[in-house]
Amino acid sequence: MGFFIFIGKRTIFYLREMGRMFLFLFRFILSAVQPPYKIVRVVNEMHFIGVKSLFIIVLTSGFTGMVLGLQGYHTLRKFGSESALGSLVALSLIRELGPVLGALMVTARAGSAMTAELGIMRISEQIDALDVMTLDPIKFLVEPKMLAGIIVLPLLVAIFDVIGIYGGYLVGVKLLGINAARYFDGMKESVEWRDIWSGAVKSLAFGLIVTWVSCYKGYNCGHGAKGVSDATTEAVVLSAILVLMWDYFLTSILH
Amino acid sequence: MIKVSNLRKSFEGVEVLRGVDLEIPTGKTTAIIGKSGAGKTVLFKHLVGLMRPDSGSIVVDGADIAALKGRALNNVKRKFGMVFQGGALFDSLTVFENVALPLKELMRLSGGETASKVNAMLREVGLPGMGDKYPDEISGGMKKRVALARALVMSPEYLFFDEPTTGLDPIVETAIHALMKRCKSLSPATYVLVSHDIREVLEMSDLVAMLHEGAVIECSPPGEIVKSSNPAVRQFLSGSAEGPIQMY
Ligand SMILES: Nc1ncnc2c1ncn2[C@@H]1O[C@H](COP(=O)(O)OP(=O)(O)OP(=O)(O)O)[C@@H](O)[C@H]1O
Ligand SMILES: [Mg+2]
Repeated sequence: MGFFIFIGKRTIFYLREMGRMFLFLFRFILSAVQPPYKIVRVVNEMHFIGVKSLFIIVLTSGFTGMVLGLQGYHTLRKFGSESALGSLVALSLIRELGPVLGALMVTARAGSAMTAELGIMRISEQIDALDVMTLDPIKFLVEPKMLAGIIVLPLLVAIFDVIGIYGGYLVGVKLLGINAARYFDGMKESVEWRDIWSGAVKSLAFGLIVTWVSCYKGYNCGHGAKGVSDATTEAVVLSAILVLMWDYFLTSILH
Repeated sequence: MIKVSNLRKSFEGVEVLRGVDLEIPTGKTTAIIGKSGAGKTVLFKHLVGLMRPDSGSIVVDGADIAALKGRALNNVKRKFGMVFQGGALFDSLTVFENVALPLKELMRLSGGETASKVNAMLREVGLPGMGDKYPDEISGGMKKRVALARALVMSPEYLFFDEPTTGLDPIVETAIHALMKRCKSLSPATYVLVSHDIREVLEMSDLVAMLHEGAVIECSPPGEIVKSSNPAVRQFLSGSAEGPIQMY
């Protein structure tokens, strides 16, 4: 009996939590479509997310492209089609790895920082103070962060893709000796608008997911330092899980 | 006037407020006393619309804020200013920006008007020239005074002070009392304060309400409450360990 009660309680807990998350999203959307528009705040948040994440994006994308070049080269050589390396690297990055890895890096770097920031504002009653002043905390704190995330992630992913492609170029062309023209020509022939489009849709969706989860967890964080640290961990884990799950769904819809 | 009737609130099965009835008259200073953990902060958060009661009503000048939402609620909340127990200053903003925020966002004053108002207010609370500091660069007493300035700058009709002087030295405490009195004489408002400091309560308030076991057990002027026959009130005022109030 105890077991079923446990399962039931957990299920209700998660359903409630999901309901709250959607209400939070709904409040964000309502607030985002209503003036006043806090453009300066959005730009500040874009700067924060972008600057925080740029270095790690450059680093990880470079190595991702390089390892794709290396693995791809050895695999393709078995079939005598090394010349397809450019398409392989570009398609993997644009369709999958750019959006997914980019989102994971932004989660780790900027998402966790957002959760911690909002969490500390919650436990030190700064969010309550805004509320008493009748300044809507969603409008004031959450909306700029989420809008910035949705705008910035696609930009970071574009940087990820480009650097990754040059990482593959470095290994494939400079190190392993594939013809440079071949590398890029193959890419031009095989990458279609549809691929770029699907990568862009994914990165927009992931930008929303990451900032949504991070802001939600921080905004509703529990008591004390423990509350903030738990919220941060939960935000990172949940963002990562949702990004990977939605990657599957979006891939199956978009192709 | 604020009239609280049969206010109830529980957290995770523990009933913190068990039917609070309280009348806060306009223009007076009402103090709420009670032991640590009695629910004074929780009651405050209900009064300013930060928490929603499980049942009961909180009528502010004829409007029940427990039943209001959205814009209607905000219209009532505009009458409120609150000094939080921990200050609740925005730590990413400077002292100046903290005090300026409500002016800029709500009153839409120009930069010049805001600056002159904020600087006047900072001078008033004894912090001239501290505007460029961040909250974590100033002492606890200064933070309290900045919080006070931020609440006062909008000239609210109702001002809530959650332990305005706890943890401050006696000289700053006296200065804050003087400041509160001066502000009150300049623009008449209703003050509600939570305090553990009996001397402060008796000096500052027109009415003292004692919160005990989730209800207001006595509400009377300071001159009468010191003569109260209620054992819990007597114990609290004398600070005795013996009596109906359990230590923990
Ligand atoms: N958000 C909350 N969630 C759960 N329990 C809470 C919450 N806020 C307050 N409580 C509980 O309500 C009770 C009253 O707390 P409150 O902060 O109102 O006490 P207080 O009278 O202000 O004490 P102090 O004088 O120490 O500030 C405490 O037992 C506290 O644990
Ligand atoms: Mg308190």
